[in-house]
Amino acid sequence: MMMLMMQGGMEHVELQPLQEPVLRYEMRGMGSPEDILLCVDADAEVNVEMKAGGGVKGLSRLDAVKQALVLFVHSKLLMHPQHRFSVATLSNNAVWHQQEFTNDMEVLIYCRSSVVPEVEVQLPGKQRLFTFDALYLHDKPTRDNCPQRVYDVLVDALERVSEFEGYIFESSSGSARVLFRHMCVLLSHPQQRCPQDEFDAPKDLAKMVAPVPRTSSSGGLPQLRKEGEDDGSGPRTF
Amino acid sequence: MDARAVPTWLHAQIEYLRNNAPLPLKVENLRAGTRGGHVMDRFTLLVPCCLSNVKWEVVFNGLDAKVAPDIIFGVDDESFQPLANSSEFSPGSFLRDWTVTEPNSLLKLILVTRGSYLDYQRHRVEAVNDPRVKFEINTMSGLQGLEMCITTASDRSEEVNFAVPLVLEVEAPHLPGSHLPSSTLWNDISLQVKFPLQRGQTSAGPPQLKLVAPPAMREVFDVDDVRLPVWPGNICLVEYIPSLQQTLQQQVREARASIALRRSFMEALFPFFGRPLEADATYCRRISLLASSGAFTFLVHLALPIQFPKVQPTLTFQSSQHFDTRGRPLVSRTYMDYPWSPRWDAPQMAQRIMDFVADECIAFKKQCNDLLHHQR
Repeated sequence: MMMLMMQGGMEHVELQPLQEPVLRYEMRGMGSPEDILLCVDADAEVNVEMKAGGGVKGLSRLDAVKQALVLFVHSKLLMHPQHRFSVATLSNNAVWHQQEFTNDMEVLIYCRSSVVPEVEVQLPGKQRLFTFDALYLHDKPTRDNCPQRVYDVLVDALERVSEFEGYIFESSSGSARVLFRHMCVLLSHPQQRCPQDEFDAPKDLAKMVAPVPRTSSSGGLPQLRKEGEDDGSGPRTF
Repeated sequence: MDARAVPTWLHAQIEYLRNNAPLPLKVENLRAGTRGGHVMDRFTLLVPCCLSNVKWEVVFNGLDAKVAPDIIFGVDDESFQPLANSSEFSPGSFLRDWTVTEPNSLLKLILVTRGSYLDYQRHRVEAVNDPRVKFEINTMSGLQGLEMCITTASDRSEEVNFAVPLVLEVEAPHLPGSHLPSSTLWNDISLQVKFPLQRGQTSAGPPQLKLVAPPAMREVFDVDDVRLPVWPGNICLVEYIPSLQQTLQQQVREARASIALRRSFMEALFPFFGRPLEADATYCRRISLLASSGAFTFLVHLALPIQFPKVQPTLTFQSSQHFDTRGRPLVSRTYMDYPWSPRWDAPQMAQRIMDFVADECIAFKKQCNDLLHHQR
């Protein structure tokens, strides 16, 4: 399944190394309210069973995606109660159920390993505040399907349409827990995003080594170990 | 507003007023003159006066752009007669020369009528035969932006109101490489003073005082939190204002300094938690982080108070993997009592928050698992 998310964006946030070997983060962008359209693919492949684990019980793909959407909406509202949402469904055509936005935002959840999408996006002129994300769940590549082609079309659409940093995830592992985790990364506000390769959250707090004693004036920044877990981030071939 | 039902020329006048008014004028209840009528050519206008709003009805003839509008004033203002004055910049002259070829005609008419209205109210206050009110007026003539009026309270008693913007000198925000002056004058906060009248006379005690500020300021500074200096004995407003200004200036400076402290704290979280999901980068009141502990992925929402760092941020955990019976993600209680000291520098604060989150998320995960177990 695929999720395309379009959100508002202004400046990029840049990482600026200082003299110390510490990356300093400067906050920019406004973090203003967003309008987000959630589009769900209601096709046959949505009934595939997801992998259970990590406290998350086995769900069908569609149920997992629905749960991920609820997670997304609630999380967004906890961060900023003025974010707004609307819903569309996708089978042969896209049907947008309510149309109440001032900024164009779209979330498309796409669930087809065998059908390559035709992404036709009609926007009135060039929307300044427009970001496009994708989340794609699919079967493992076989001779009878073409998830790589689907993925490539999505990456292309993302780069074509998205004015600012769009994020894309794909997953064939079928883990609902990982799906929810990807969803959480998509929560990041487009106005404050960095390129996806540089996005470094979540950090595993269980792996943080205890810092030098707190009396030191440096503040004792932790040593970080790179996470070994594959989180499926960034455009790539598989 | 459905522009098709509002005549184009009127729509232009209203939009010009909305976008260019130097004061917060508000157009409401745009409607047709008859039930089921198609032409929307009348509305209610909220006009600021003495830090409150008076309501006027503005009535156009939607079928004839050449006809000047009527303005209907409130029931308590029957003695307001703006047309009695027919001099060059009076409402009467604007109505006489009414034209919609320029989109600013409505705004000009409203502003000049408001000016007449403020004069009318001033005369009413000057007519109050009370020595204290007369003394206040005599000493206040030099105050910039002063407005005064008489209002009728709900019990039909009258009150004399004075409203004056307070001019505060505050440091300009530090912008690297800019050549802006180091301080600016702020006049967003106003003082409203009420003297209730009983049988046309004020009472002996101090007047009712209230600070009024634009709602957006609440993110940075809440005027309702300000303890107003005591009104000592027999002074007048002009003598009271300087000490109020000093108190306010100090508190505003602290509030603005707090923004910078909140910002550097939020930026100090980055080496520990990575990039935040979302942060209020303007007032630095909120930040949300994505974290994990092993296979448990969760969010941490922080809310930073205006009195930061004296008052510590509140913290809420939210799971990405546990959902209640309605499918909503499980959320922890709000933590306000974790180890904290306002004397720590920003990196230390961030370190301690990380320590707390790393420990407490285990307990939170357990709570979520227990809750789910009971739900089954």
